[in-house]
Amino acid sequence: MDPGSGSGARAGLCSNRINGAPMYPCNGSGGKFESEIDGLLANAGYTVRASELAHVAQRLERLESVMGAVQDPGLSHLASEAVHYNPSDLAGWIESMLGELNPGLLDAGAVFRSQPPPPPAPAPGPAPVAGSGSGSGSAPFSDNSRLVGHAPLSEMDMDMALMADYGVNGGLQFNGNPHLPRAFTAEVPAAGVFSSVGEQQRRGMPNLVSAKHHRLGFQSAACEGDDEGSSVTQWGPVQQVPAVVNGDEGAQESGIRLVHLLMACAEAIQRNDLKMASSMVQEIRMMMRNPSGAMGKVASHFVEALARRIYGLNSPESSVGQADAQSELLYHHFYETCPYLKFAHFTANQAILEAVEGHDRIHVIDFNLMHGLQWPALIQALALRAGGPPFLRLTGIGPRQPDGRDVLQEIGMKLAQLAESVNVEFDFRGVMADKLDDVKPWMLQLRAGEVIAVNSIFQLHRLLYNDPSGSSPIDAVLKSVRSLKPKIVTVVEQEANNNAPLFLDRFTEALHYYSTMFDSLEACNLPPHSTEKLLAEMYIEKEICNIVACEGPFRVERHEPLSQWRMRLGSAGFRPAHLGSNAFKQASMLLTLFSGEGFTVEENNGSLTLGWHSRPLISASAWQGI
Amino acid sequence: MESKVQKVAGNSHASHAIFGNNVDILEEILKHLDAKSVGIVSCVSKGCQQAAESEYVWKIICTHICPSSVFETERLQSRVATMGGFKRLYTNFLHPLRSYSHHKHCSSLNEDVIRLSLSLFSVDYYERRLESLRTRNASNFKIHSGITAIDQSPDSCTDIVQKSMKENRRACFI
Repeated sequence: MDPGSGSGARAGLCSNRINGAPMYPCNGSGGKFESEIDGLLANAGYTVRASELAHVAQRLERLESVMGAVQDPGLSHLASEAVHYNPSDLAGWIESMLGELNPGLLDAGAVFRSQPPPPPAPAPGPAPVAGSGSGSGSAPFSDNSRLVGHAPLSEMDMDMALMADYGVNGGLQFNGNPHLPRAFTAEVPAAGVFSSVGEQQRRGMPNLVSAKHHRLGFQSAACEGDDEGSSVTQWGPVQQVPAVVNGDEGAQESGIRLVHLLMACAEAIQRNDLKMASSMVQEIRMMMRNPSGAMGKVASHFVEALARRIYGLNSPESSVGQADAQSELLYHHFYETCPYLKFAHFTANQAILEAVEGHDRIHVIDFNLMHGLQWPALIQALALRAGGPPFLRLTGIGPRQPDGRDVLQEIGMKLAQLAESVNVEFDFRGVMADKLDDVKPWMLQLRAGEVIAVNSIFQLHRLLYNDPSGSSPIDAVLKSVRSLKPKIVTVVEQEANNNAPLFLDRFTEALHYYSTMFDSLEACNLPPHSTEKLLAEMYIEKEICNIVACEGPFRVERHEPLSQWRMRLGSAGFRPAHLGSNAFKQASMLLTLFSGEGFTVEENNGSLTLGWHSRPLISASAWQGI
Repeated sequence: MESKVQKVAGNSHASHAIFGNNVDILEEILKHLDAKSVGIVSCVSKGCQQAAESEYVWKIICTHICPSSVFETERLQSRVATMGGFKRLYTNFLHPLRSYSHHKHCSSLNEDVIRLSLSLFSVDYYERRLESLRTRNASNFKIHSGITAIDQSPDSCTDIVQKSMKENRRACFI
């Protein structure tokens, strides 16, 4: 029987007549090259489909490493008790070996052992792996089936994780028990799949998810006759193997693998191949059963963000402003645990102090008041000023609160009390605005004779969205700032390039940036599972979600590096004001308070950069109107 | 001088016998000591602890380590007292920053350090006053974290990411 056409090299491999060796029949469904038996291995007595070669090679590798790790009793148990039907089916044999060597690693493994692969059907190579359903004409599924084969077990998992995470409440039929998928597969698998399809529909999950189930349901129906057991085997070992790899190859290796998976997933999204991307997300989640240190945490945040992007589960309020109690709590912990915000505040304060030297009436405009943590230090420093404190007026801009509280006034009152206790004349005004470009100069009520300082900590990058008419809010805002004629404008921004036009570039850059940030967080001397650390990480996670999962006006975390800000501010009519050596000294002193040894402060043409092991993370600069 | 004080104060009966209810005498003695010794003395007995925590003692300690007369102004003293006291200022801010001081064997701090400590102290005071605001709002917040790392792997994420970018492999899962 002549092999089908196929492409040149492949066809050669698929020749079935070599030196008079017994001929293994090809898949009767028409000689598509991917379902033909590999001729060379056939010589050695093994049945392996050409399309499976890479897969089998990988599995062999893993089997080798696992066998090396398994202790003696395990191997001898294999010799005596394992039942291997059709050992000439190499792929199936490997899967069964892997299954035997890792009982109970994943719950599906238990199922696997109880249902050994069925005796070979008379039809050629039932090939339990990849469930191509042999002669039942489902060869067209052979490429997709591995993908789809992944789906049910992890889909269940993912669904429940999704529902737990995002509180989707479409009439939850599960009891929320994370072990439930196991119970499903322990029964007759095909039936299990069907009932899961029903569940999916009752729950009304997104269409993409249920479409997958439909496909698998159909597939199982097609294979029902002889593949009852095999549909389990197709799930079992495939799910197990990543866990094995993690355990054996060490944390760094698995970390690298995670990153590769994340990049591959991002590429799939860039190509708009959402099906592939979502299956990769599930792979990654599977891998994360064995968390691998800090990289695992970073990866978990990124994979959540990717999942949000794929399934479109964005909640708009996660991007607009930081206006609820939860965000405030996260902000507070982020302030406490890492030096970034403190560095920002103290450096900006130093610049303001030096600029307003000798003036008696000062008006500071803060682009985002938050808790006003920057200002007690300024008030205190002004109180200590030789010649007595000046009159300080503070205008704080903040977003509208969802519960209607006037946070600005509350913060203002606290600041006023503090100012009073240090004998500084103080006046506060709050301006409520959801977006900075809504604030017009007349709202700030400038008075004559006062010197103006504008302070923007991590705010300007939110304005970089290019709306369809072509203008950005940033231009308008810089223009109005310029019109105020401020004595000093302090700008602190993240030193990253997260605003590239291509999603993949943004993703790569964000991966670099936030992994460095997580490293620095690890080094801050906190107990490993402390609440403070978790909350600080959640703060960072929000930023990651915004960068990866949101688009258009909702994506507000559009970081740009200092060089680009210099150009923007330069063209808007500002010239740089050098931060003096006092600011540098103060920043270095501040860092000694944080036990992480890796923080570095660098001076860069008059601006200061805080970094972790020479990767800059935050940059602070000051500007004056020309 | 310090060892004498410690020997005498070591016996709590003795300290009670000598000082009785006049803790201020002990304070007068303690104010000549440095911070570490005061800390040691405070562990000896309840009376000693009370004396060692007095603001009077710590005010003197702080004044001694400052080159300028920053802490000697009435205004500043009352300010520090309002914001939480000299003991807190020393323990939480002045002491950790001493390691930065250039003259490590010299016991005085330079002025920048003092200014920074005062600023941080004011932020700390402010934060404590904000506590009431925050706890009121945060009572219903439940922490839902993703995967928490079980082992603390020493490999840094930055290295891992950079390595994997360089290797430029593609995961073969299809």
